[in-house]
Amino acid sequence: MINLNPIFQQLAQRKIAFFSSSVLGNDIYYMKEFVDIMINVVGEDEIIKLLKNDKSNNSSVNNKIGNDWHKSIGIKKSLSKFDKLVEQTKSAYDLLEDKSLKKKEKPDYKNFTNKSKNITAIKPNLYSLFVFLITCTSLNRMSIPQEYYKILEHRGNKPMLGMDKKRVELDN
Amino acid sequence: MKLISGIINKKIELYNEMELTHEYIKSVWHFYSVYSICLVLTGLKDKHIKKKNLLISSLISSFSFSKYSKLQKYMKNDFIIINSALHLLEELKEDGDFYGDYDMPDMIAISQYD
Repeated sequence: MINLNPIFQQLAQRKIAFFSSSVLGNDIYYMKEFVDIMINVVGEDEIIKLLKNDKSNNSSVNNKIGNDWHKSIGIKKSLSKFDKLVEQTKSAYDLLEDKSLKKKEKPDYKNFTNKSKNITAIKPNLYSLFVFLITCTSLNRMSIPQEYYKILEHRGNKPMLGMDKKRVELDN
Repeated sequence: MKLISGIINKKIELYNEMELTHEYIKSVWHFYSVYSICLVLTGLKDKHIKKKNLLISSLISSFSFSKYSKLQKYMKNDFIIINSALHLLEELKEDGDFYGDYDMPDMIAISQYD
């Protein structure tokens, strides 16, 4: 098991928390960021070696990813191709006025869905690499602190505004 | 596997919440995110990935209940894979492999002062 530096560990936990609480391609953006960080921290050669020697339930997929890493059909090429698509979706998401995605008639929502529909939801290779990078590092035995989750995002910030109002009244 | 288990639990929690609030596109996305992780954990293969991805994409571009009910037929079967992945995690918990090399559930920490 690879022990990660506490700073990278915290960074990785945050990316995973954002991935867990986001949807429609925005989650894939954070997943991709996590994968990129881990490749740089652990080292590409080390990951390839570990993937090739993997003996988990998903070893056939992981071994293939490791063996084809640098090939034209490999995950390295597909990850760099995927970059543009994911970044376009993320920038469309950032421009959304209502992050709860409830105002479907607005043009910014249509712009976002036009981008996110191009991202496939089920991605066996990317998810396989994602799970592998967690299980082969010290992240495997950790949990994600609740405050890392973007819990307000899917609720449209309403509970927070209510709480602020109460606090103001109490202060007065 | 503690972290993976945490991700699955969070995604299932959000899937349930979105279902209850009738936000079907988001609920479907969370569901298939969990499903993708569970496919990896179990090492199983899915022959209908392309069909499912196409259905999800068309659901995002324009939602209709006919498309959603088509996807629900797939989702009923996909629950079996999620269930078996959750069983696998439970077994790992019982075997003590769940926490990796450290933090064994029955481990007793002894601090030395001298």
